[in-house]
Amino acid sequence: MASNSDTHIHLLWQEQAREEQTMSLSEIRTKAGRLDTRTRRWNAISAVSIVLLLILETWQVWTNEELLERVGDALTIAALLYIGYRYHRQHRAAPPAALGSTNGVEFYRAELVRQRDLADDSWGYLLPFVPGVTLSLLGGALQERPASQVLALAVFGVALFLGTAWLNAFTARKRQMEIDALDAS
Amino acid sequence: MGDAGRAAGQDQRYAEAAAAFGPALERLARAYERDPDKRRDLLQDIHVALWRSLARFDGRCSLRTWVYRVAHNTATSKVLRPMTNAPTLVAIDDSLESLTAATGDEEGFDRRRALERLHGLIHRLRPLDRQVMVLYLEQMDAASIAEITGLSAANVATKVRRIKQILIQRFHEGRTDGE
Repeated sequence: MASNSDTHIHLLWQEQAREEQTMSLSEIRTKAGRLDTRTRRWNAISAVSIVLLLILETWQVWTNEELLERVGDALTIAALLYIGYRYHRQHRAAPPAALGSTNGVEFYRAELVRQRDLADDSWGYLLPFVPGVTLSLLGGALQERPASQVLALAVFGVALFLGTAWLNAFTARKRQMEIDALDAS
Repeated sequence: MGDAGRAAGQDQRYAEAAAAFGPALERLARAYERDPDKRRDLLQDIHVALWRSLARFDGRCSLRTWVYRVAHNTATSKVLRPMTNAPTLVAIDDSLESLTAATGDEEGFDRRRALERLHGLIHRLRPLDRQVMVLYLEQMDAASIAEITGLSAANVATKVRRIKQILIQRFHEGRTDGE
């Protein structure tokens, strides 16, 4: 009985109608080249965005009259440089050969660990901006800006930081549970 | 060997792999993606990843093992993407009821419905269980499944037993009822 069922299921699976989605070698090369271009473009956009933010912050250091705001902007510049460096280190793509030389368990575990660490490390991306943003806000408050405006910005900043941290902690916990289950099996 | 020789070797190995495993890769993509457009994208990604990886194929494992590892690992990384709107995945060791409940009542039995039911079941499995299930359906023995997945042979044997139990319950009974 079992072997008849086995045969039936195997036939059912292997005789599925094909969609005939074949790719020629030149199409594969084109697609691979397109993927490389997209990655390079994304890296370039990230780099240009950081450079633009650096220029903007430098301009503000130069032009702001309030000392606290200027110090805050300078600290934000340092945070941007640090984040750019971290981002560059963490997003280096795995070499393509790893896909074939890594078995399913190793690959799955490595992916879970990478996603857990990325989520766990959210403070590493958030905290560097805290001193600069805080000082800029304080500087703004001292410049007789409406208290409600400063308060709203502060509340928004804190909520954004806490919300992001909570979401990342949740993701990290979930991934850790999956890693534990994998290690236990 | 020069760059041109290496590239020719890579192309040659890819052509061999695509000819031998093309249909199996299509079935594998179906096991990971229900949506036809996303499935086509996944299959293309698998072929590109395979072609790229074969530049460094060193023969330490068989071409078949290499192809299945690249394909499953590429598909797994898509399933694990944090923002993917995926349903909660279950383990093959979970209760039989949890896997069978979502696929509906037994009403008649035909090939298309059976295949849909089979895909529905596979789509709900966690990545490693899904790999074992697909490789079992490709009629691989436990040793080959263990080499591709990295699970122990004993673990694979247990999972395959469980898979058979589920499939027999779901499909053999359904077929008998329908006949």
